[in-house]
Amino acid sequence: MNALILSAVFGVVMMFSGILLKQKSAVRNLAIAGILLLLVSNVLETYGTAFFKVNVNGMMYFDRLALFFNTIVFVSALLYFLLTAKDMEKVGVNYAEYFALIFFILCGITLTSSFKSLLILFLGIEIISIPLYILTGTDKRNLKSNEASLKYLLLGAFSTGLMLMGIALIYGAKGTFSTEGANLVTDKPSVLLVAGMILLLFSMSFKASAAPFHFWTPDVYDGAPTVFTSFMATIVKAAVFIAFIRLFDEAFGTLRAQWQLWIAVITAATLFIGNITAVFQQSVKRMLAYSSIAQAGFMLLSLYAMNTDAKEGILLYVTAYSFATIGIFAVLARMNDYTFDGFNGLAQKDPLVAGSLTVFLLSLAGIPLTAGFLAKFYMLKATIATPQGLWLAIFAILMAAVSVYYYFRVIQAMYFKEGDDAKAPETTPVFRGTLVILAALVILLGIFPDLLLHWFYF
Amino acid sequence: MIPVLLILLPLLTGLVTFFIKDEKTARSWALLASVATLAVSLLGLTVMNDDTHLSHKAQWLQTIGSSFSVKVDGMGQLLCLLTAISFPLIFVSTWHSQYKKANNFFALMLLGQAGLMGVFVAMDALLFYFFWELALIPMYFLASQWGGERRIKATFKFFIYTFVGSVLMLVGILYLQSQTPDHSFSLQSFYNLGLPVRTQSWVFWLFFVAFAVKMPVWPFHTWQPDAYEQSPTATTMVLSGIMVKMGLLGVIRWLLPVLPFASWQNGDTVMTMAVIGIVYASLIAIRSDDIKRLIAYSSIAHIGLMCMALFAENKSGMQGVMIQMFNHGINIIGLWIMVEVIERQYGTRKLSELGGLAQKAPVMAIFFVIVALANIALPLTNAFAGEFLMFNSLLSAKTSYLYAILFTVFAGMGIILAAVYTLNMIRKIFFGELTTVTANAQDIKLNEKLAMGVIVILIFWFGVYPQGLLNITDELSQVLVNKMDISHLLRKQ
Amino acid sequence: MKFRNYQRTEATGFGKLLENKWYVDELYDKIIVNPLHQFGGFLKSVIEKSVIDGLVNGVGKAVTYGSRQLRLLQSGQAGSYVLLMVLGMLLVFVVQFFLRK
Repeated sequence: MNALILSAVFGVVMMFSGILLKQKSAVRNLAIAGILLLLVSNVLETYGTAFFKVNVNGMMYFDRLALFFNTIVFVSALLYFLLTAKDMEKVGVNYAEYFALIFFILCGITLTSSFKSLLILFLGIEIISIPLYILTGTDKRNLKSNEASLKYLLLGAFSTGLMLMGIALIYGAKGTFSTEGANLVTDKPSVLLVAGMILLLFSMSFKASAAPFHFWTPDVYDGAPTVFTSFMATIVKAAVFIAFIRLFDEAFGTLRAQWQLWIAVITAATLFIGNITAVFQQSVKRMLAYSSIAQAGFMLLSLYAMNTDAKEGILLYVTAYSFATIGIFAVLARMNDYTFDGFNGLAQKDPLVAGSLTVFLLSLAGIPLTAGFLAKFYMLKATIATPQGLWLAIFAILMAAVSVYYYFRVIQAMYFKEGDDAKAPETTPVFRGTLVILAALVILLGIFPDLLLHWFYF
Repeated sequence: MIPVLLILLPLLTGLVTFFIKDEKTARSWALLASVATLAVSLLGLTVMNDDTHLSHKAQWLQTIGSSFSVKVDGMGQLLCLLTAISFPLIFVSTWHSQYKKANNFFALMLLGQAGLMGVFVAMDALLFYFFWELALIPMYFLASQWGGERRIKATFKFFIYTFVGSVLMLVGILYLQSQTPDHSFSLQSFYNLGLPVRTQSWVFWLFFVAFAVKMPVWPFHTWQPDAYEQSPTATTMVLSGIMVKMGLLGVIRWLLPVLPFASWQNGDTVMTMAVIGIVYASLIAIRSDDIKRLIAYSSIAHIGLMCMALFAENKSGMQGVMIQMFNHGINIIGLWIMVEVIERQYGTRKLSELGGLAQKAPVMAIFFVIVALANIALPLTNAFAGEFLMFNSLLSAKTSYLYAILFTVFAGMGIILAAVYTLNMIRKIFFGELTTVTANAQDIKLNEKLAMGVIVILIFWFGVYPQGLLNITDELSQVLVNKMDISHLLRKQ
Repeated sequence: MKFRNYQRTEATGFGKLLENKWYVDELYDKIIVNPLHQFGGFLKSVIEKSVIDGLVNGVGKAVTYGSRQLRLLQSGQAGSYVLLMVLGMLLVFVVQFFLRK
């Protein structure tokens, strides 16, 4: 509750800061202070200090999972601000408003992590989506950005329609929006309920960019300003997944026999399309868009398995994925050339940045000693523990081997090819320092994941 | 304590090396570090060779059933010793090779050593997998950065190929873990599994492909000649001398005793693959003009024989392979040192462009001939005892009598062919007319003499007195053979 | 006369056979060495390069080919995206409600 209210308030504060504060650095510092405040208040709530006591009529529930997930989101957002907030200046003139929109998105995320009612879920998803439509189009003079924004809005509206229809059908079947009551369903679920559930599955798959609902992702991620693509591809995606898990665990847990097959099909298709298509991309940004689809495929495995390992694993996965991807995008935002060749010879120019990028890429590829490996490891372990999960696990891991191909192309460019100096990004010591810390975190989590997962229980 | 030191020492010294900017200092530092590791390894072999010193267990990832459990067993002793001896030899023999950004080169070499040590001592499947991949990453960077012209492509193929193999093994490991009653990754729990026959046979292939790619066994070998040819020679030495043993160790420790039924069932298939590989690789070696490729194919043939002996599933095979892993490593590193000298001095590796070197470089010729003869396992050289034991095991293999004889005959052909291409190589390099390339040849330098001297001493020492090696591996191979014995398992069920 | 004694003459018949050591070397070359050599060359240039390595590289090529083809699905047209999504949804509904039991 702390984070929910404070993030909404801070969204408004940031809107006014654009008028009141003349200096861009002041705006930026205010935003960083805001995110720190959110982080602290959320941690305090985790340990029992809630600032606000609001009667939510059982529509929301701030349990350990929700609060812990919020913490992960705020830490990621903090790192995101530290690394990329300065680059947002390049996007356009409404600097303060960008932060305001991001705080509103964070507000939506606190809703999706703690909903107990389908209405709250819907509100959360929409509060996340609408600012994103705007952020995608913030580069106003760039046609690609405009196109992406419009496409996102149109397709997003389509998925919103699906979701509303699904919620309506479920309400018709059960007479309540609450996710609790659905668990009463026994052996013979009504057609209304199953149809509603499948519609929700579609719309959540859309938001999570799972195949065949992923088509918007490459175009939107590619068209949006890189700084915002970073946010969309990491923190927002994590939020969608946590909502996805909560929804299918709490509301449709007993209908598992109905949806597990579909999740398996969607997972396999997502892994296949994401990984295979990424291979041929020439632009790193577009490659990362497909990689985010591929990673979503891996995260879907947790939904398929839905056991303890899966729930712990998804927390580790979103952390590992977000940290690594934020780091890569932060460097990418400073590059002049988004193709693979743009990275040529980076290791000679800037060994620290190249080294950190290597850690992030290894993590995304799932090489041991990085958080990404253990994240994938948890997913596979959870999947193999299910009765028929073995083939899915083998398929997933082979696709992970394909992903090595495109992630390592960046490493090859940085280390083994000669490049011209003009293309190297300009970096400040603070930026490099933060990047190295982020890389260190990725490695630390790769050796001691308990550092993170421990907090989940205590 | 010993195994932890064996991993930590190269790891930490390797990390330090990244920050040593001066080339000479980095070089000396790396040599010093590798000698220190060798000292630890020798200490473990001689003085502190009881269980309290040789094993260590610490908490790590307890929630998912894993632990940092390391132990140096008999096979571990030999392989750690091999790794520990190899690195100083490599550093000394390549003392005059120039590397751009030498500090990174040596740092990655030491990190690779740490990874290899980890693979050899890990007694927990997850830990084993960790190190298995970790050993690969530094090698990938070494070969891609400092290698030959086509290095990026060749190394990448090598990386993806082995990676695909190892992720399949990861699935296998996870599956086995889910089947253990205590949900543990420890080797002991895996040994006690006793899976049903039908499950064993497909899990077997998940593991075997990973090991087969690494060894490599025909037809999974095509990454190898390219990777050996394109890597800088120091890295090739690590790849061929030590890294291929990861695959063999995997089979010995993680496959045969864990899945005894399937190993017995698929033994004939694997042995057939291996024996085809022996003849096939030897014939290609005869036709190879590039020395690096010739040695690469010869290595495939040697490893093929070791793989066969393992699946013969008896004690002499087991023990033969264990000591042969050590000796093969020593010999092939000797060969690579000579290749490095030839390539650096004359700028070519082509047999057709070399000739008459014996007149110009007599010391080199003597060393080369000794190592080459050891490579074909002449009596009195170190490889003889192992080869003898392995052929012995093939004849008494747990397969039908006809197969055993056929396997032995074809494997024996490999030996003859090995003599053909090795002697041919000696003839073409050292005898005959001098060529334009070799007309101004010089003999080898002091550092190379030193490294080769050590290798020759080892060759003769273990050639005359193999008992030392046999003693170390005796107990372990008996234990493993008992675990593989399925008649004993049948009785239990 | 004397010169003839020193002149090298071709031995004939049995003498020739003896002079060439029963042609053992030649026979050996013909029957074992040359065929093995040729077989080795065949293995090296055909089997190794085209068959085994070809298979391995073929897997890589298949992935790149698949990538190029799959990329075409991403046409950039919102309309076609919606169409594909709807087709996918229809498929799920048909299977779920009419085919699955």
